[in-house]
Amino acid sequence: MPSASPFAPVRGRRGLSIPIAIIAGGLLVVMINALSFYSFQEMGAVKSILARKKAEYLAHSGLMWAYARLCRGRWYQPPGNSFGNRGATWKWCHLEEPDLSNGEPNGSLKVWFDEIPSKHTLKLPQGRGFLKQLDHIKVLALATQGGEKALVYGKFIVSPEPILNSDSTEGQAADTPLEAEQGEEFGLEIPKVLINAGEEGGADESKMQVIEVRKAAGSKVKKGEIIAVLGSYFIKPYRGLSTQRYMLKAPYDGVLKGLTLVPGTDVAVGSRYADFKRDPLQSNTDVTLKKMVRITRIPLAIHQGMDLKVIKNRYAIFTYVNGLTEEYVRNYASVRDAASSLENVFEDAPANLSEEEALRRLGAGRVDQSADLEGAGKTFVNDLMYGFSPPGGLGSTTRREFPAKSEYVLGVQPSEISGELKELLGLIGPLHGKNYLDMLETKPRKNPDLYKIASTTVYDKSMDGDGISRKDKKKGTDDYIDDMTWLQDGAKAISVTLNEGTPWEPGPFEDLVAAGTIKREDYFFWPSKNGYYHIPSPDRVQIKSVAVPYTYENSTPGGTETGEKFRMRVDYLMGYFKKHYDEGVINPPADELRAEDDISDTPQAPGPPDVTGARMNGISS
Amino acid sequence: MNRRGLTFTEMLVYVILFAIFLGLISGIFTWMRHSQGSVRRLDIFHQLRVSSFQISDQLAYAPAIIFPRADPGGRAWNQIVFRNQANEVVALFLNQKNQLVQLNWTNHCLQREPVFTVLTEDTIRFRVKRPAESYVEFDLRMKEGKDAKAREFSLTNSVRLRNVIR
Repeated sequence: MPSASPFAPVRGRRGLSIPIAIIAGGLLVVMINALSFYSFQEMGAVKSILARKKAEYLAHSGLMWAYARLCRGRWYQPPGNSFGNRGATWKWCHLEEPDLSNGEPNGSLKVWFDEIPSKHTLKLPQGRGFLKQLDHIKVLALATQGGEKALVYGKFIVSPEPILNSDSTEGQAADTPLEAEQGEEFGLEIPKVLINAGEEGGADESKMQVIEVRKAAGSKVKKGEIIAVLGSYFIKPYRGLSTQRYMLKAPYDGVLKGLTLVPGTDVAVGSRYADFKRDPLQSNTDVTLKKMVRITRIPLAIHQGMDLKVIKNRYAIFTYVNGLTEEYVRNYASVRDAASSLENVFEDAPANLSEEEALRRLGAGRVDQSADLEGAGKTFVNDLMYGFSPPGGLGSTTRREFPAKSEYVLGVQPSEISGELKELLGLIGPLHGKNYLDMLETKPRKNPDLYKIASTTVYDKSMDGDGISRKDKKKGTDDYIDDMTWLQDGAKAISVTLNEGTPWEPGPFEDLVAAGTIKREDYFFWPSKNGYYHIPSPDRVQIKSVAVPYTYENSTPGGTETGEKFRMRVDYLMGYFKKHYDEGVINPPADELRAEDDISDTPQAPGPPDVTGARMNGISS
Repeated sequence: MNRRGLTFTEMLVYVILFAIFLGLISGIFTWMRHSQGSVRRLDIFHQLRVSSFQISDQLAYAPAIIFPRADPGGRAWNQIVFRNQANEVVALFLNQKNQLVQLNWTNHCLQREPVFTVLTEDTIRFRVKRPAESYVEFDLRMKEGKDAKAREFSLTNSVRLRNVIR
């Protein structure tokens, strides 16, 4: 029935507008949510990346902070060293939490230091024991920023190696065999006069004048301190004191005993002017190289959930880094001469290159996969020697030119034994049926170029031929470094002991022979002493061949902080190169604290000094 | 009086609702087209960011840069060769398909994989400067599409080497 009013509602008819509006609205909401979700996800990803980057930069800051502090010393250890500070407790590891976040909220930093001992030890004089040395310090920096973590590993290397149980990171050089032969106490002699005939005329080679004496007898001196100043004499074209001055410097830290120099008097060249007693531990070396190397970001998967306060967990990280070492060294050694052959490879290349063109320019490479890990290590160390420049603020041009001024100086320069000892050997040699004077010949005497070698190429060839030691699979990297450092038969150490009978003047000697107390044939006449001496048995005459090390020198300005020439013994320098990859022994200590070195208070060797003067020593080189 | 039909008001309501619905749909399609462009741009930013991180990560831990030489004068090159953290020799360059390619030369010499890895597509420029021995600046530029009027996006980054062997 139709409704009576035109405004009455129409019943019984259904519409679609509301469902359509609901569906459309729903679709719109879904799409807006999807876009927001995508945008927020992208923002979240960026935020997470930023936080991770900040954490990584904070970790790196921690590593650099650790490097700067370690360059100054190991503040976390007791003062001094175990030789001077007996009974102190030394630490294997240490934790610091420096505040380097610069006001950034939600940031924290922890830095762990783990000391790794060296396999080398320092021998103390008089048989009193050995001091352990430090190989390197492993540094782990864990930073947290905005919920993200970053762990960075670094290795602080030092060469020469410092004493392990000490608060220092300054190198402690070990005695060379020559220094050991020389002993703790030895005489200081007036040096030879340098002849400079072209400029200054002839010089008197027999004597010098004492100009000034700066140290008194019995005074303690540091290595390099000037003891006295001498001047040489002209003999032609006119006579008199020259302007040339000779500084007598302390060869080591020690004590000056029995100084005989008086200002204004003359001294004979080659004569003994003082006795010197060397300190058992030298306080400094010429220079100590320190660097933070092998900086490695540790993937989150390796250290996630690890409590790094536990020593074993940190050593697990070190084992991971050690696993990367073999790949690092082998990759380096497998493709040779990359740096020199590729340094201009793309110099004139267009902006776009095909892959084939890129490969053509790079070339086939000189592949050498024959080397094992030790062989690869030797190649690595050898290459670094050619391109060495010290860490620090050298300009790029200076750094490129630094290797060209490399020199290698033998640890002894031409020197003779005293005239007295030479005469003695000349007298008793025929009595023993030997030519002792010929036995004094050394390798550098036969080839004087060996005293100073002015390039790394020539040095490498002199010491290792065509890579004999480097390619020898039976020799490890340490053996190779020794072969490259020590010149065998570089010097001769001579010792003659005349204590088998009393020496006699001619008169009493003849009387004793006539009385039958002594036999003439048991004695020899020493003309310069005007006396008869008992012929020593052959075992009382020792002529020992001594290996002498080379020292690397470079006079490029800026090589050292003090402005002095850069000098370092070759094995310490090559050891520094080896430390760039060698992680050492990964063996966690049982405890955070370690025992001190075992040092005897009582000297064990060599026994009472020779007070009769029966023993005569000398070094010939 | 019993005829079924639409009143003028009902039709007006239906027309208005239909217009709103049509407006919504067309708005959605317009928004979809814009968001496609935004997504493409976000994609390019993402590629730039990821490749920049990859390059800077490799360079930060590199023990040596082999090419180019250090040039304080600010000269720029189009390629870079360096040793990565594993001491492999790696080169980065743009190929002719406008891809930024990483070439692992050590793997090539030792016949290992991978040799070539594509880091980014649609890259129109890769420039490198080395103002100091241990400092590298690089600049990546990408284009949104092949159209000449397409927008270009670039990212510049600089890296200090942390692991230089000397």
